[in-house]
Amino acid sequence: MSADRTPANKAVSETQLIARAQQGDEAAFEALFNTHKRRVYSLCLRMTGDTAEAEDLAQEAFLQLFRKISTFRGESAFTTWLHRLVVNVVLMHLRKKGLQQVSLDEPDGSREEPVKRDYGEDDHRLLGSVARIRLARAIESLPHGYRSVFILHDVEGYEHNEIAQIMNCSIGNSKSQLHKARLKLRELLREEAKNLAPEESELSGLDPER
Amino acid sequence: MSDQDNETTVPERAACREFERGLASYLEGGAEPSVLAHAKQCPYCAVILADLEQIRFVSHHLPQEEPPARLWANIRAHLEAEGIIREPVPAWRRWLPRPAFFPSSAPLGALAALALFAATLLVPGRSMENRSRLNAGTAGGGMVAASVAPIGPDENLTRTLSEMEEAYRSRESSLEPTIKAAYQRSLASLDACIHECSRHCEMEPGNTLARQYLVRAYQTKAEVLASALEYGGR
Amino acid sequence: MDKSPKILHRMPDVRTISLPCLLLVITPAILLAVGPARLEKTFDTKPDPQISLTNLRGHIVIRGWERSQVHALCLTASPRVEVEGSAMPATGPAERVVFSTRVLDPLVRGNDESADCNLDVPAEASLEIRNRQGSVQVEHLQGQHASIDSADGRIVATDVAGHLTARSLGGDIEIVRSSGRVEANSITGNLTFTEPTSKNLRGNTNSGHILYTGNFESSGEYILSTYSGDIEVVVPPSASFELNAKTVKGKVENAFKLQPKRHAPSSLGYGNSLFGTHNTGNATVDLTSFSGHVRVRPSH
Repeated sequence: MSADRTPANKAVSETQLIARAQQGDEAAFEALFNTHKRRVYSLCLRMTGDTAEAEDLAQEAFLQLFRKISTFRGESAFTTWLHRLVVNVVLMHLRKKGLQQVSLDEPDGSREEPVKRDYGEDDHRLLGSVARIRLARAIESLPHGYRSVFILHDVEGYEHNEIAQIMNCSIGNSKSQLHKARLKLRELLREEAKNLAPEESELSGLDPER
Repeated sequence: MSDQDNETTVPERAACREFERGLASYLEGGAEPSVLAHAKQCPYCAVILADLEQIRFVSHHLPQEEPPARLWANIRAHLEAEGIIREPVPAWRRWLPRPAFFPSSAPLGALAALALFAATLLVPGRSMENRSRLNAGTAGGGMVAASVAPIGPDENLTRTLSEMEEAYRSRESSLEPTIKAAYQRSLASLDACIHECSRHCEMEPGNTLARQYLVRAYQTKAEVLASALEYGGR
Repeated sequence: MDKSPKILHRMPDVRTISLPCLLLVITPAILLAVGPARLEKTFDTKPDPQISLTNLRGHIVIRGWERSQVHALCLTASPRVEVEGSAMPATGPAERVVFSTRVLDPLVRGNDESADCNLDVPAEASLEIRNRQGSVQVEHLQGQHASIDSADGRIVATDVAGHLTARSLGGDIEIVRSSGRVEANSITGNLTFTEPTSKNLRGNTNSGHILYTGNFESSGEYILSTYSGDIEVVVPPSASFELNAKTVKGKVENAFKLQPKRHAPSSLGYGNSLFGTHNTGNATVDLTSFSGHVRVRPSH
């Protein structure tokens, strides 16, 4: 729905807004906030799994952004700048809480667990059309170490080299964590699907009419 | 396989082990022909691949959450206290409606336009006292700023509106025909109003009703363009 | 009842196509082969819940009922379109229930995008409905707020007691027996207000007509405006109001005896206007059309 936003026009408008925000124009601050609030808040929420923490972190990220906006000279895309800032705020917070961001396992260190497989069932599909909400919930259940890499890569679209830089780990480590995260998510969703009525799991969570 | 339980670990087949080794790279776009080839042969590995493809696909389309409304109020309070906001929005401007037509969130251009538009509602040089009176007059949400509206929009507004219109025209073809027709009818209706009211304002500078309609038509046009731009192709 | 968020999407016959060989293909493509889908779901709710629905295309009907439950029945034209329903909190009775239509396959266009939804909701629920294309019908609601947006759909709200906001670019808006504050906005659509008991009612359209039939409440405020359409107000002879009617290019026609009465052009300096009081003038009525006619007449 929001895939096409005519980058050229957006860029023009955003440049104007940034220039006005640099002059301290409240309307421009608010417009910038409104444009980015959902993505910023969603990122904070997914990374922390807690609405109160997410709100605090989103606030902190926007405040840092607006405090520094006078230094923004347009060398990088504003959105990139903002999201890097948000990620840093969140990771700093998680570090302070003592949560491990990336497993220290080397990518090809120990022999990895074999992938779990289901046999003997009629329907092997995971979720029918995968429920986004169920997936979002499963992401929240991921261990922190996997979760950050997964969110940054699969949800936010960062490349492994960027993640490695942000999280201060190797590219191989980022790739390895991502794969583990996906397998873990699959496991979580499979387990959840098993707990549902067979028909329900096939019908993507619909409470069947009976 | 007949001795397998409903769930078990991977069967010790070399091909399956090979599949697993190539899986991560394949999902990252690596050339791993053996992964796909094996999945076509082995239904169990096919399930794994399909699951992971689904997870990857859906992860890119997760819904975004709306933060609580108080978030902006809190941020704004900080910005004001720290002196970062140097040009606060006058209270009256807050009464201008946000982009009203579906959907609710407006793109930057529209917000810029609305803000610029709001600024043009006042004739340059009008005092703050007049602004305050304007507040009182428009708080009920009726027509905006009629008594002090300029005859026409200023250059900023005209430029911003024409930028929005240009952006809209460039993506108009991607809109669904019926939606496009609705936008076309709406914009034509508003343009007719703008054209006629501008003419009346020039001919009869004292015609406050024409000014009221002109101001509102500009405002509504900005909202309509905002919502059209937000649609994108869908 | 399970209150966890779920996709409310039922896909009949999916077993028949879930052969291992198809598993390589991602879900939307799998679903290409199957027909329309029906979904049904019930959520238990807390008092005064908030219900929101965002839909691309289709007809939406929402009715208030006495139960503390939201019951949703939706038909999607294509199995590649899903309606997600989620309750917050995820366990126990919901404070908020959110429905949202999503197109899983970007190739789905036109009528295939459509989802028709019937929702029964607690009468005291607040509503936020966005339906891009297609009608929205809302009935028997007493919640604090009902907000309905459409790009090109007709909106009909009947017996709504809370603050009602209805907006459509091109669709007509019909408000029947409203009793709370009403704001109706369209650009090319007509506005119809029938027997309202609202004390604060605003209707605005650019090129549509406006028809108001019923009475005015004591100390009520009624503001109706159109640019090129006509405004017609039909109220009983006993109605008590202060009228301020204006038009630049049209005519003001009034069949009530108003006191005092002044006719334009003297009062405005342009166009036609009419200002006067009927009976004790309890309600304030402001009618404005730029190029249309304004008519005020008694009902019989």
